[in-house]
Amino acid sequence: MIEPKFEAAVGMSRKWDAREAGKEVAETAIKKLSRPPDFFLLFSTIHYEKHGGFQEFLNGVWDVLPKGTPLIGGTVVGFMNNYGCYTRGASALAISYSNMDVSIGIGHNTKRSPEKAAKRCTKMIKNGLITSKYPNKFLLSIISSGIVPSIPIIGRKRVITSKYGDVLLKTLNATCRSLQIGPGREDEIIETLADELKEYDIVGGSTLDDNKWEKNYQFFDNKVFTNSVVALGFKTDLSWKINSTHGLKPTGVKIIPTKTTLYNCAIQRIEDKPAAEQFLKIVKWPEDLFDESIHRRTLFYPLCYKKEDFLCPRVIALIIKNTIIFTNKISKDDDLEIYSASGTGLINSVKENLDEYERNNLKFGLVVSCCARLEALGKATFKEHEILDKFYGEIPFLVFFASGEDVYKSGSSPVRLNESFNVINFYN
Amino acid sequence: MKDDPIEHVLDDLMRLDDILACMVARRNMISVMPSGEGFKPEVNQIWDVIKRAMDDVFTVIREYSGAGLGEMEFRLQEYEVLFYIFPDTENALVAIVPALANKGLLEVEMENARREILKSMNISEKEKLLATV
Repeated sequence: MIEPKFEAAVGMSRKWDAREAGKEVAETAIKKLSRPPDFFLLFSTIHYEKHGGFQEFLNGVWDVLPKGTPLIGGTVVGFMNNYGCYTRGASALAISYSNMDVSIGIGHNTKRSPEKAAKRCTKMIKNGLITSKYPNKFLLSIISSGIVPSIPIIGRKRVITSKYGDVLLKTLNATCRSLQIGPGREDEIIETLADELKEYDIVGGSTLDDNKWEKNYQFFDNKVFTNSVVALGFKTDLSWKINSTHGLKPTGVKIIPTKTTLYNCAIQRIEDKPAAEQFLKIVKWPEDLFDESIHRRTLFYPLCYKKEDFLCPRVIALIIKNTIIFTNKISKDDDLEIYSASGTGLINSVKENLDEYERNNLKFGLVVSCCARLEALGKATFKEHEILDKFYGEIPFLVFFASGEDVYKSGSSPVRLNESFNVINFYN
Repeated sequence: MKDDPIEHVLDDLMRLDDILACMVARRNMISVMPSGEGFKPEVNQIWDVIKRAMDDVFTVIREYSGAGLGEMEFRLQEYEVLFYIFPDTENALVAIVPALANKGLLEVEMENARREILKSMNISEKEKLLATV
């Protein structure tokens, strides 16, 4: 009997020209494989938008990639791989394995109709894998993240206190549907994906730019999309283990939201008082800390709630008048607790995560981490890379920094996370 | 003229939107500048005062580089100046960025640039040594 052959390879490019970078990221991955890849995951930072554009970037990839290779991906804030740690460039993971059936899916208008988009995507996945006999089912989902609205005269502000604030808040629900600006509604997408693909383990993340929350793109086959969910599903005899850590510490300070809005992504009232004022009172912060650095400041003080075994952190994205807006859903039924993040805690959580894994028969690692961790750690992200490098050695791995992470383990509830580090190690 | 690999590294940094200026410098001296169009225009209006403040920072760098000083930074008006020091030297990779830039992301590429420059410096040191043998 012929032993099934497994091969994994990581590609990388730091070139500036979109087409050249596309070619290089594909070439560097494929040259390490002895047969064509069975799928190709592609991640890039936003920079190619101004250096030829993402269609040219994809054209470059397809100059090299064998026709018909299932490909998904998108723009990310940064990535780590066997080569290093980067916030500019492109990276890819190419997998070649005979005992695996692969299918890709896409759904559009995620901010307008998240459920419909997710259902269309899962239908394509199911149809593509209908004849597969392999027992283990995995799905990687990549979803378009939220977009911070740009208001005439005011521009893109993190804190809006002017009279336009009220108008903006009232119209944000509508603009999310009509213009697809506002929350990414990824919570609703992951819930539908999990509901439609109950037997799958699902891990995913959201596409973003360079943390400005102005634009993001998804890659599917040979085309570039916006406001879409793309997914890659496979059935295989490989096994895997998913582990999520965050390194946050509870502070004991509780926030009780009593009125929410904007698809439950915004708190209007805390303990029946105007949310922003009451938040400042509870955390004992002076009012002037609500400035344009609010998002970066609250990376270190996320508001968290518990869902089954998971801690779901939420970072403040915007303050409009007295309303606090988060990048993802919170629930008025769940009390929130402020947690604190430290550089040491975040870095230790990587080691703590990897300590749960064996290296025997490990084939490759895929990690979805949060852009908030990258922004909070900055140069110290290289310390995370040292830990990864020590663990994986020559084994291919790819970490992509998304704007929110999704995890669904078959049989449990799906969760939308922020500030988390999610490792999926694949074995045979 | 031979291509300077350090110039290339600085040129790469300058292509990032939020890097307004970058250089390899020491007190009273800019050793390497980007080869392209130079600094972005918004830096010009504040350059004189930033330059004076930078020289003061380099006094501290000279004093503590040997003790393991790795990075320094200061904020002046709407700008931040980041110093990534080359170990055991008085030299640093310096970048001027907007105060509200996503500094964490820039730090990653600054560190990549510092590593690249150090590699180039080590290669040219080796070449010098070989030439004297």
